[in-house]
Amino acid sequence: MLSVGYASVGSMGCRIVHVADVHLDAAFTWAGPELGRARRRAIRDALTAAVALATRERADLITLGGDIYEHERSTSDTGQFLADLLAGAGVPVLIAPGNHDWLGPASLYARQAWPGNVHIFTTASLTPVEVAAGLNVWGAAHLSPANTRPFLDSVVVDRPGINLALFHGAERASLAGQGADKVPHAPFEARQIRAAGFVHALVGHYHRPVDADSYTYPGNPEPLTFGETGERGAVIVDVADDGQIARSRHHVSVGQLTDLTLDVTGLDYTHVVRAAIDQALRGHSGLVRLTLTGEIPPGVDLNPVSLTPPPTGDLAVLVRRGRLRTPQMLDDLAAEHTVRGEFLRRAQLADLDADVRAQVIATGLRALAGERDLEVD
Amino acid sequence: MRIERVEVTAFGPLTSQTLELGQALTVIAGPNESAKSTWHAAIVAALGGRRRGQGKPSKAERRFVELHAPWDGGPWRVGASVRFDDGRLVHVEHDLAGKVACRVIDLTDGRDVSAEFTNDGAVDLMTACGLTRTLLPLTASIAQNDVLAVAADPAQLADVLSRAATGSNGEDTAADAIGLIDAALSRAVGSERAGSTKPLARARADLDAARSQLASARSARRQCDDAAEQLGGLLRQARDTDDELRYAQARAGVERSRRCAADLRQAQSLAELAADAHAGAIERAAAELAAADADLAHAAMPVTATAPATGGRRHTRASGWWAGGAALFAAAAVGLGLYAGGVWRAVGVAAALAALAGAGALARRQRTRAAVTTEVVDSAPWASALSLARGRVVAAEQALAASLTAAGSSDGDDPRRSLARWRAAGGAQEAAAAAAQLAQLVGPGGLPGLESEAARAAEEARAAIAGCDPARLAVTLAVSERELQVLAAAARSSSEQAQRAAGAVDQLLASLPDVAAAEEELASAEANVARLEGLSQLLSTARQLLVDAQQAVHRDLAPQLGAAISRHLATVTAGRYTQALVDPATLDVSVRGDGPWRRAALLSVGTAEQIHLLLRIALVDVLTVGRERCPLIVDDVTVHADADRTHALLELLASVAEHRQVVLFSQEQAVAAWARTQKYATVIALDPLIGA
Repeated sequence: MLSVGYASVGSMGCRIVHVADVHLDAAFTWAGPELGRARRRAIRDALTAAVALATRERADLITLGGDIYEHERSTSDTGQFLADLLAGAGVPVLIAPGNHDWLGPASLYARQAWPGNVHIFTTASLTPVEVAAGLNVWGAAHLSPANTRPFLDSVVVDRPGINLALFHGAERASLAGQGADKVPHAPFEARQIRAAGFVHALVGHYHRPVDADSYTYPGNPEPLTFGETGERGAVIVDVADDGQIARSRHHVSVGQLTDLTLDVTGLDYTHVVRAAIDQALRGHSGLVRLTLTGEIPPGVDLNPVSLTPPPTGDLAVLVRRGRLRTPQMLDDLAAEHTVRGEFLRRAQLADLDADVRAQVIATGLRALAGERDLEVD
Repeated sequence: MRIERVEVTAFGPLTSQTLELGQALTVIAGPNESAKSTWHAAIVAALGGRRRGQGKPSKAERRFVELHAPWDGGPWRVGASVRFDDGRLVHVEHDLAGKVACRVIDLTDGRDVSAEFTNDGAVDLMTACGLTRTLLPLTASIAQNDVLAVAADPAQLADVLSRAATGSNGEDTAADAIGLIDAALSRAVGSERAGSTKPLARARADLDAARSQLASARSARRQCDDAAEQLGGLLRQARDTDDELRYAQARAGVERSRRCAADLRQAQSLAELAADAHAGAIERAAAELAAADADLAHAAMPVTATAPATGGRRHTRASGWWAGGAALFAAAAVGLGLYAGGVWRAVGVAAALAALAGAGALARRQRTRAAVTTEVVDSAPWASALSLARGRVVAAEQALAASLTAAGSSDGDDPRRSLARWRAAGGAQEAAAAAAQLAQLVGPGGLPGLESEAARAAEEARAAIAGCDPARLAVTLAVSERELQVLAAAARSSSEQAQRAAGAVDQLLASLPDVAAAEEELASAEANVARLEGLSQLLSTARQLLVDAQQAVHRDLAPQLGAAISRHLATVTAGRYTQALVDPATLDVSVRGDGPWRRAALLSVGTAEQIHLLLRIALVDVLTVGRERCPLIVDDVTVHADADRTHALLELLASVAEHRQVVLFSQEQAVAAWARTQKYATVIALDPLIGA
């Protein structure tokens, strides 16, 4: 059995800071290169904050439950950042590689020189590390980006004391709540945790946080996309001498991603739309995505580029067009026996998506009104 | 729709004035400077109001402000009471300056019904007729300027028609709109031909570059992964080769240790054999006996007459000498061997020296005996010496017998015969051979050296097998030193190869491009191309719909307008022209009587004016079909007509007024006089404005 050997776990139990799904080096294709770089910096800052949390809260151990970085996008700079950061943690760090940071010959886990306080699990089966007398953490690694066999199917704890599991896998019952595109890597069922002899499993993979009786998904500490819900971040897990678990969640993200929707129905002029956007953004910071919906007022410039306010020190905005529709008032215009009326009638009958139809109508009306700026997309 | 009353709070030169209009035809007559055109504009403003749109005001809007803002201050407001065809009476108010306090109140119930008539942010009663405030000046509102413009350029008939048919801002035609879309397509999208510098071509080039960049970044990533994969293989190979070497070395160490141990055991056995105590004692006793014999022989020489030696005796003596010498030299060799062995060094030295001394004495004795065989010596001192010598021989024989007996080689009688038999059995030679073999086995280090070597080999073997799998070690074949060297070279080579590969992988890792940024660049480039393609599709779709709408409307309007104009054409042209035709493609108006078709644009000014009036009436008829009947507001359309044509035009307007309210402004007294003869006509006389 491996032993970290220098965990200073006192008689009051063990305090663990558990983090997973950090996704260093992730790509933000919805944000563009400039915002993407800012997002990646924010992810590093969030992990740094998690390590600082461990120091501040006098944690005995840090556990990283996989997907700490993304192998296919990783750089040696990321490896050095991680090594330096974890070296400064001052406590043992256990890493269980996941499907994105799977352990292979080229992975940072294999190529980077890691400090002595970092232990990386390297086997596809759970193996124990004694972090303190009577407290074992069993960990395992994904050795490929897919097809990792379930970790809990064949393991039986044969050590006395308190045994925790640390791995990257998908709890079947929680899968449905994680979105349709979530792939169940290394799946397991909650009952298997206690059946195998573990008091608790510290896991990663689900970005939406889960605090179940027998397992904990901390969720991605820094937002990776818009619309993420739940209290994500680092989880402090206090393991009592009798194996009782107490958890507290801590926000470590440095930036916020906020999704806002603005209904432009009835906002008849571009300056009114701009004022409504300013009003909607008031009090927000970080990165805000503002989606315009409702009826497109004829003659109003809804070009996202021209409506996007310039970034300030603490606020960046992405304006996009959502589900927009042709305003009802155009029905009157469509009754005209004119080219404009005929255009509207034909546009309403054309085989177009509602959003495209609204844009076509807005374009045609702007052209008929003599507007030169027709880039309404 | 019928305008019952118009109220002006302040409008141009007018202040706080009201006009009550008739139900059918109202002629508002007055001389120049009686504000006829101002009232005309006020009525139009009361019906349509002003748009509240943002942006730069149009040319027409600027002109409206210049002409009709209150000359003497005051709230720029107009209002009107309007009765709809269904009898509903509403009152409309327009704040023309602020454009905020504009509303329509339903006078039957007092409700604000402004929302029913909102257009472009402001109240516009013309929407009830299927028109708009922008279409009104192109259709139902005929200003003196319009008449003058057509008079100056009859070709504007088609333009008026086209703008009216377009139905937008009253200034632009559908063709203008299509032109704007074409310009936007060219500017914002551009051609897709190679070498184009327009946005779409540039965006596609950027997309290609981004794709290439990402492919390159991913390729570098794959190259790094592949190199790392190969490195993994090389590391495994190096580990395997190293393992093979390690096991071979362990096996060799074990074998060497075993050999050393065996050699040590053999050396120890040989040393024991060579250092046999009985053999030493026998040889020492034999040497003493030989010395005693020599001494005796020497002592007996003066008294003993030795017979001349025969050949046989000589031979016997010679054989005895050689045998005795050989035995003594063998004993010396054993002694040297024991000396070399270390443990038995003292014994060996003694044995060797004794043997060598014996051999020397025997040689001397042989030489002396040969020299004195013919001498006879007899004396008393000699007898004593002889006795002593004989005693020494006896003692030596007894000692030899005892040694032989101890060694179990005595026959009990003659020790000399027993010695001969012992020697014949090879007892001395065995020890000597053992000593020689031992000397060869132990080498210059001797037995201690061999012991040290064996201990070292054992220690090395222990170190070599440490960590080895015993089962694998057990089946590892022993290899030669040469094979061991080959294995070591292979392990070294594998290790060096793996180290080089590791260096290459680290170098590749250090120079990996930013894949995430490349993905974002690509996504951004794709989005840009998609945006421009979408914009292209959007503009193209809008353009096509506009083209189709234009063609359809023109195609639809042209015959209706032609027919509508034809209905009154003969009346207003005194029968000169009877038929009108509107070209659907160009909206050019042509007329004919009995002769060929003539373009209206080429006719006389008067005729063009008349056709213009007919065209406006026709447009109102066609564009308001099925909606509220729109009043016709006409300003001095007869000013260029002769009496006959004026009469014809008035008759035309009177007939129009039978189904549509007509408001006619005129400065001609004849027109007012004519109106007073009409049953359903209302005449309002305007006085010149004082100080206007």
